[in-house]
Amino acid sequence: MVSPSKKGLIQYSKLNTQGHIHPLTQIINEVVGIFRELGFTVADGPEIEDEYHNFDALNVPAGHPARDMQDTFWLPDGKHLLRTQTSAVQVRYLAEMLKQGGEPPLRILAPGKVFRQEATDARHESQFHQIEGLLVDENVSVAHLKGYLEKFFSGLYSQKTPVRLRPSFFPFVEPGFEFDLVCIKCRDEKDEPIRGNACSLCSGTGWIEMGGAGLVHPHVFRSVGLADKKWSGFAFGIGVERLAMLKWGVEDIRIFFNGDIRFLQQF
Amino acid sequence: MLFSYNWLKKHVPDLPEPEKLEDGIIFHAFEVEGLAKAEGDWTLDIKVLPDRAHDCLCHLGIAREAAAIFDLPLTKPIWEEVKPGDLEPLLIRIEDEKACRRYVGRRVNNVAVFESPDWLKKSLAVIGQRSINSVVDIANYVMFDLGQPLHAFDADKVEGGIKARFAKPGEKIITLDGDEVALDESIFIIADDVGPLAIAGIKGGQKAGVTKETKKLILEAANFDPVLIRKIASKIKLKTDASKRFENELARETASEAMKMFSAMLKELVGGEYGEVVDVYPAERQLSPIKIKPEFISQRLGITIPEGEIKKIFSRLGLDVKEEDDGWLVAPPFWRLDLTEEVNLVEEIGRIFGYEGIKPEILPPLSAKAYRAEHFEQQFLVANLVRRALFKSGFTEVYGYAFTDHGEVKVENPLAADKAFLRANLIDWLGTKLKENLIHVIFDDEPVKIFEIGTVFPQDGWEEMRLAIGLGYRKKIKGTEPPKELEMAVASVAEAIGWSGNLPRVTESASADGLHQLVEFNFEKMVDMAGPVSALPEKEMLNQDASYRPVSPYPRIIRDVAVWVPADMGAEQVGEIIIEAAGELLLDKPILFDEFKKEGRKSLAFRLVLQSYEKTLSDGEANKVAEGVIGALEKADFEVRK
Repeated sequence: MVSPSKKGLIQYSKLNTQGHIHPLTQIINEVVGIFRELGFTVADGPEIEDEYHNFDALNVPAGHPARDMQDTFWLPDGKHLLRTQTSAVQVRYLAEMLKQGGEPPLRILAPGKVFRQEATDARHESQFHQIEGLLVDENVSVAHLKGYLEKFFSGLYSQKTPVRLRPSFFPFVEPGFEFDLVCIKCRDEKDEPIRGNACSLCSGTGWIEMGGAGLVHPHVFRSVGLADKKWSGFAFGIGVERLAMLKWGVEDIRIFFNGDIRFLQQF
Repeated sequence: MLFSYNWLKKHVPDLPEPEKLEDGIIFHAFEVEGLAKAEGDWTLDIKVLPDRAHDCLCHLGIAREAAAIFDLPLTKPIWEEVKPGDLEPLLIRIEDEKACRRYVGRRVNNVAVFESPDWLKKSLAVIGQRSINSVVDIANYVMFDLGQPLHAFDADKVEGGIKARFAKPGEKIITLDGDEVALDESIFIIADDVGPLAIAGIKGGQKAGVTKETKKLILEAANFDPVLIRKIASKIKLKTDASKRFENELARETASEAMKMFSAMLKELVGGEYGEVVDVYPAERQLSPIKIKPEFISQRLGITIPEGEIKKIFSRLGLDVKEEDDGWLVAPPFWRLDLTEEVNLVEEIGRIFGYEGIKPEILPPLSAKAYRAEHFEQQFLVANLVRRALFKSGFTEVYGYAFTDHGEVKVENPLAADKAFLRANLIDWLGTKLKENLIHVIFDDEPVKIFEIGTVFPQDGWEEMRLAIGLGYRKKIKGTEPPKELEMAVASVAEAIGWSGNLPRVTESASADGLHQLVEFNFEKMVDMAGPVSALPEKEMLNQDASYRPVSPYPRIIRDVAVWVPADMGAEQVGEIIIEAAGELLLDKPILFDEFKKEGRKSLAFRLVLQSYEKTLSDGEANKVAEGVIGALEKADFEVRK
């Protein structure tokens, strides 16, 4: 079976001299490239976080059941943890900006590794990557969140890709959403979803579940000392592995971290 | 949690059909993880998240949502107050009013505890609950209806009155499940004059457990501090339906409602004489109304919703609106403990109104003067420059695991013993991967070249981005020196970031024979050394032609074929014949590994990698493929070298 991606009928060199960029790096760059054109810059934070940045400042107080939403790897001191979400970068970036005398508007994109203490299988890993987006400005609304998400996914899939919001709960946003895309394959000429296809991407629903989002909760602004009446913003999180699995049809998340060049050489 | 459609319908008689109800809940309230038929009923598996677990882990809660979503009336509760008779008084003492916010109790005499009637058993079975006896079943039914956990004690086993207090050191309790739990001063309990009867809000004890012999009851509907219940449940590692509800903070008002329903249902099913309802309620709480301007709601949602519509939605949700000169004062009903500020109301209007109609909008471009932190941007760009340099030198990027079996920084709760540490460097894992990958190279003189940019944790409180590069050969090739490719690759990285000196090397290792070489650099220092870099277009990191198929778990077999062809003939033509003849078992394409001309002819040697997705190939099967290829080449009038 000849891999359709590789041109030509023979391999000319006996040595495989071609290098390859990891598929997750490729996805992250693709996403960053599209958001850069929308005015976003890259940010990041540490992988070992403290309780404050990962939870308290994000409106997840100690003793609240919301802490159970993300199974957490703790360090022995009980105060530090492996970050469960790139959302911690929001707090660090805002605080740093205020310290340097800056103020919104701002637009950042934070790709990074996150950790969850859960059993691994083909769909779950104890480490994976998220891309967090944050936009803060005056009078930001749900319409803007929808606008940027649609613009991004339309760029990613080179076709108009409507986004659907469903109510959900993430403590650091309000209102909070899960968002879905019209299936890349199951859609009509008006880009409306088609139900009932035997599709591995959308399971026949016409929609692909993609990530979480919402308007930044005023608690986040208050915890860094930013005027929560003046500024508003939106935030979203997208799973990098999920995008890669959808793009290339990879069926097991663990394969991204096994260092097997027979896998990596395909990218 | 599982919800019964028929049960919800008791609260909302005009409830829409199950599919329509499911859709309504998904787009206006919660994720529905499943809708299934059950004997004469339907179940909905609704994922209630922590913001609404205080009021929606019960049928009344979901019924209220459905009524608001579809603008339908809710039935009023049908339970009548059971009039108290002349029973001995029940003494209730709350010793810590922060821990126990309310305790509603009542005595019942002359009951007969039997099996539950079928309708009750079935109601519970549909939502996955098993029947115990009529008293316990009724308590559970009320909990799944109103959300208030209840408890009943066998009053004949209770000595004296009821005390809500912290346990004393040395006290212990045997739970209804028969497990002994050692208690201490951090654990809140319900006790009689002698000792513990229950772990408050979590689990009852055996001592005063209700059995079929029970004749007298003490009923409990209480409210406990959510954080305390959560702490205790996690300390004694016992999570129950009751503790799950209490840790989400229940409205204190529900306790008396639940006692009313509990009594009425008991009276109907097990009879008995009922005592005075004793309500010890030290800590009442009033929810504050929220001040809001209706324009704010429309602004945040990005769609203009008429004021009349907003008011209607509030009223459907049980919120009371009072108009004032400078805006509205919106008072949530007692069960909506989650509504405390303006944005909560924005969400209520948004979700009930529906997000579908909101039109996407984009802001004008960000001004060049806007604040931007350059550091991470720089780090991201430098990483790409380094990747490009290594990629061009034939290196493949890998991503490793943060977790490993050795290191300096420990994880408190690892998934497995061999994942109990965070990696202190990159090259340990990279070295392992060199060896593993070398098993799979096709030619003995073919190297494995890999690199990683990633975070390491060399010590507590020290986290650092590193770059590691590894190069490995399977065996020494006669007459050659250990390869210099690694040094050349490092030089290309330095050149890429514009640094003329040495790169900040942290550690390195090489096998004795020099066949495996690994080197690790402090990537963060490299970012600083790079100085300002001009952006590298992200597109350059992408391989637009990439496609994926799984790697077969079965071993591969190698066969070589050499053939004489006319001197002016291209290798592609031969390749085409080989691919055609080899069929499905040929992995990728023939590799041309030797080519020379002699006496007007050309010799081409190909290596074929054969592999199946279904099984381990035998030599015989591989030979058959090779013979087929040879046959096809001979048929095309080529002389195959043997």
